[in-house]
Amino acid sequence: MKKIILAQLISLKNSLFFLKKNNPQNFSLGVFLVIFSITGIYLGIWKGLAFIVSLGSLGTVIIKKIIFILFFILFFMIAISFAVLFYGAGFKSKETAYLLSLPFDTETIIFYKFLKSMILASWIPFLGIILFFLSYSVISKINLFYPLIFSLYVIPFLILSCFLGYVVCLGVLRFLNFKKFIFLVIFVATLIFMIYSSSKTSSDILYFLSQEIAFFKIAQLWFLPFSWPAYGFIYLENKEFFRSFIYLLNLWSLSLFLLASLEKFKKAFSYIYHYKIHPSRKIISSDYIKSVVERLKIFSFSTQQIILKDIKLFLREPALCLQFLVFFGILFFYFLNLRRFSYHLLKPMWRNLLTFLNTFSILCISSAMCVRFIFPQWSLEGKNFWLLKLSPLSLNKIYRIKTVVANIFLLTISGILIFVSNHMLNLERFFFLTIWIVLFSTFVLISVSLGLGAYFVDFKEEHYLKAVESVGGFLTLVINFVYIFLTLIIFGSITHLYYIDHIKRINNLLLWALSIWMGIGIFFVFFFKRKGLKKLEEKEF
Amino acid sequence: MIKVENLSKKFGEFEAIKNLNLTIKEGEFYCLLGPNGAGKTTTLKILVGLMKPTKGKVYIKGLDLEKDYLKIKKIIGFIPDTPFLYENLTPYEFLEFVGGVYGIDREKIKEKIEYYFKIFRLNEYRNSLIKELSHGMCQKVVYISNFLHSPLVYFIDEPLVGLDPYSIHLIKKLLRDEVKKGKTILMCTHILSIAEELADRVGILNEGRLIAEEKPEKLKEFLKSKSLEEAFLKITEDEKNNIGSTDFFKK
Repeated sequence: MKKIILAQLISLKNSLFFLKKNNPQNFSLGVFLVIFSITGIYLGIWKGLAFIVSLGSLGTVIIKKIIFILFFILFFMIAISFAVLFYGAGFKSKETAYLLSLPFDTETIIFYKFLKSMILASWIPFLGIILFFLSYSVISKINLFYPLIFSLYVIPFLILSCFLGYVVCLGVLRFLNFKKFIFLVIFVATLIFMIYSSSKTSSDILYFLSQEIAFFKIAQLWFLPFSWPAYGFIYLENKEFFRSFIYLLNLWSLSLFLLASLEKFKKAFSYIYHYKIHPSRKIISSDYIKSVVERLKIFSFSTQQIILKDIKLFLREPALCLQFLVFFGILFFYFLNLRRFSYHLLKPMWRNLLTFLNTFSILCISSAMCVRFIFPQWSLEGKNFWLLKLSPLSLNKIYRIKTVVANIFLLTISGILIFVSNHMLNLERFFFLTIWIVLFSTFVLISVSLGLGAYFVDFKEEHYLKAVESVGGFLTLVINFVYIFLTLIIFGSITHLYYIDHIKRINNLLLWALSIWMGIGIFFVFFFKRKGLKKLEEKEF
Repeated sequence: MIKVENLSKKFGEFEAIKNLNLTIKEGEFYCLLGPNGAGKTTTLKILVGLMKPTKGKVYIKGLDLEKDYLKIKKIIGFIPDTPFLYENLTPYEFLEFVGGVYGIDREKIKEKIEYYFKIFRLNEYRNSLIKELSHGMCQKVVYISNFLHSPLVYFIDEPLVGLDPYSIHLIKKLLRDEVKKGKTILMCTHILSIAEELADRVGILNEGRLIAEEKPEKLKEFLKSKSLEEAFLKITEDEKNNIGSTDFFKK
């Protein structure tokens, strides 16, 4: 085990050494961008938390809820991310075949793959959590030592989350085929719908925050491990050290117990590896896709073939399809919560805040989709990119095709999402403004992700998700969020000032803001396209 | 057809290709030979535009590789030693994709794929995913993808890796036919018997420098060797002892 890890560390050290030696400019730029991103995230969280704290006692309640929600969402997001990464690193990677041929026992290989996938799946959330609690400690004037101690709570939390992903990955591969999976998804969705079907409304925002939204209720259940770090931190903040320590002990004992149980899945791992993944299997028929794409006469024959290839590769990559389905599962949950929202009973100022909160959520979804599915588009070409590079199509044209396809899919999804959610909220004002904000922002986010995906392209990576979890993926996430925050600050603050009577006329101001914001967006589109294309052209194979 | 002037390529401090000059005529079958690490694959990758030279110029059919890359791509074909293909496509889908990208007519693509599937004995694999095929099968798919758009110049890196005797025989025949049609082939290989059998001219590359260039028969005659293999060993050994390249070219 030590030897495998040592080999990985030497390989990492060599990569950094050669990058520094051969490309000192890129190395310095990378270091600068990472520092810039970390500072940006810190300031973004700090600014957001400062605003919430400024709301007074309501703010304190909201922050507590955010802490619980943060761990609740991260728990499942990391689990999904881990499941997909473990599938790639454990079963699809050629490294596994090589390791199996060496005198290592299967337990060691499983443990190593678990560790590797865990680091990849959780380094960004870990950084985010620490920055979040650091900002919170600064704002709340808590001892800055606490966020550091808190990392002791976060590590076992990450292990637990990854273990869930591990069980899900093995369970899906061992027992589920596509048909069974669809039935299971429908069953779970209907079950959730039944639980939610009785509705209550209230105009009290505090009642609403504590009772009405299922997310909040579940996130605070003390006996479920995703709430333990949040309780641990809250007790730590209140100086109830013993109670906090009990949660810490709980987290570590369970996570170590589960880590020690990894080897129990040895048989399942071997069975999946030898009988489920590697024997030849039937291909998915996609003639219907071909007939649809070939009917799109606005595209030339060569363009159609590239679109067709991208769709087929997407549909035949289980990791991508699974994530896409899970994504829609999360959306389903979001809309169920939205359905129960007593929006019309709230005051106009709150209504406006929630309008832009909803816009923010949809933009977060678009951004997440961009990072997950658009950013790795170039890396997904992998070692086959030489085919496209040698084809008689210019890289500019290939870039345009990828942009068009991504826009067709994501604009449709985000357009439907904002339209339906606005409709569910019975939005009276800014219905079309928010739709335009979402559509244009999605267009910009796609361009940023595609451009940065080209800039940080890695054709050697075996599994595409490693590209998502790389520094490039992290930067794309940060830049996307910078753009989303910028958008919300511009429009949210103008409308907020209007609702608290600081501005009398809003239309002209909105028009100006819209023009400037679109100008910035167009600059983003061209800037990142240029950078990405230049990098692709310079790329050697 | 191919003209290379003072081509150099550096990877950091290491100079993989040193001032390479090469001229290959239209309809010529040219083989670039050399030991491991001589710079053969790097040269080929530069000539097809997958790598950028540190210095020097490349012209293909009079077109400057740097300025007219898009035009050049339409007339060249590349067969790499390791065939990386889209693993989640079937051979048929992959070839349809390549044909489409090169702007070949739908019916023509179909017709050609059927023809090559038959002669390469790939029919039973047409609906399997590429990831399920062996290295040799994938190599055949790459050859077909090149024959499909029938380029004027072929660049081939290690042409027969992983192929069975029938396929080797077939490919040799197809390549000879292409040369007869006036197509130019630049091939890099370790297998000297193939070069001896097919090439009009061979060039020997060692440590990034072209140390010899002649017709196989003349090379053997000059070095008083029975086979190209013997000639190759002699010349690379001389080069190692610093009495090689310049002497050969002077003589």
